[in-house]
Amino acid sequence: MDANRWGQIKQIYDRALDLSREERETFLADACAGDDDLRREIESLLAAHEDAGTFLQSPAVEFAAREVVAGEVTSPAPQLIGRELANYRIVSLLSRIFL
Amino acid sequence: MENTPAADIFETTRLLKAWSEGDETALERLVPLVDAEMRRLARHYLRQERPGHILQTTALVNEAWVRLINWPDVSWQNRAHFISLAAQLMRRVLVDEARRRQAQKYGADAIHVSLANAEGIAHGKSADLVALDDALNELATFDERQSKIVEMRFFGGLSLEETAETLKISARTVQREWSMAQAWLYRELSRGV
Repeated sequence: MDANRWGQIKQIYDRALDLSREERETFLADACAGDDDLRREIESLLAAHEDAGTFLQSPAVEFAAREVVAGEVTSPAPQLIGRELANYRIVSLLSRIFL
Repeated sequence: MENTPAADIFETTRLLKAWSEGDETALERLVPLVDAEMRRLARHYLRQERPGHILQTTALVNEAWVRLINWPDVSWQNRAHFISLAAQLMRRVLVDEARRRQAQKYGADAIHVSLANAEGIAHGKSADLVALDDALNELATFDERQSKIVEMRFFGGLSLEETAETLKISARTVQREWSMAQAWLYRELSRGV
């Protein structure tokens, strides 16, 4: 994307956001005046805005923290795998029992 | 919870300063320090978590920086810059972490296969931070400020007001830029599914 083009998109998108659905139609037809690509781009961003919902609303740290802790619980204890105990060699983790 | 060793605090502060002055090798040494602190805090916070209570992520991120940076050593003029660096650093730590998890889950070859899953990110299930990181890099090529705002809010855990203060722009501008970046990223990541 070209920065100038993006600037143009931003200006029109910003104004369109404040309008009702019906007003948008007229406004976009006028503001994009024959530039179909521009209009499509703005319409698709407006649609994405409607769909985005809570996307990115919780900070990354939230699920990263959960994944880190979950990963530590479910991954096999690496220090045991490959070790030999008596006549046995530990090759993998079969299951984990929580007591 | 045990305290962060004082030596680490001075080391991270020193490294952050070095990095802010353009020493890229400092970043490589910062990442494991921050990563270790985040893991320690994540475990601590999740242990305290009770059903029905949401994880206090802002507290978690704030605590990480209180514990990692020797703030009296940082001048007021540099504070905004430091906060922005901290968000950048957190992004690096969390994306590296996500990349490692993907590699473990699908094997190293699959890193590039698993592109986007906006729905997953939206619901906090599948954290495709790697795809988001790529999209943010692309956004930065034509709108650096929007990319920065997402970095500060989503990775740095900063509020609208804190972001506005750090970037010295109005909260309203942050809100509008954030909302447009969110729409663009959502569309880009949905395309990859």
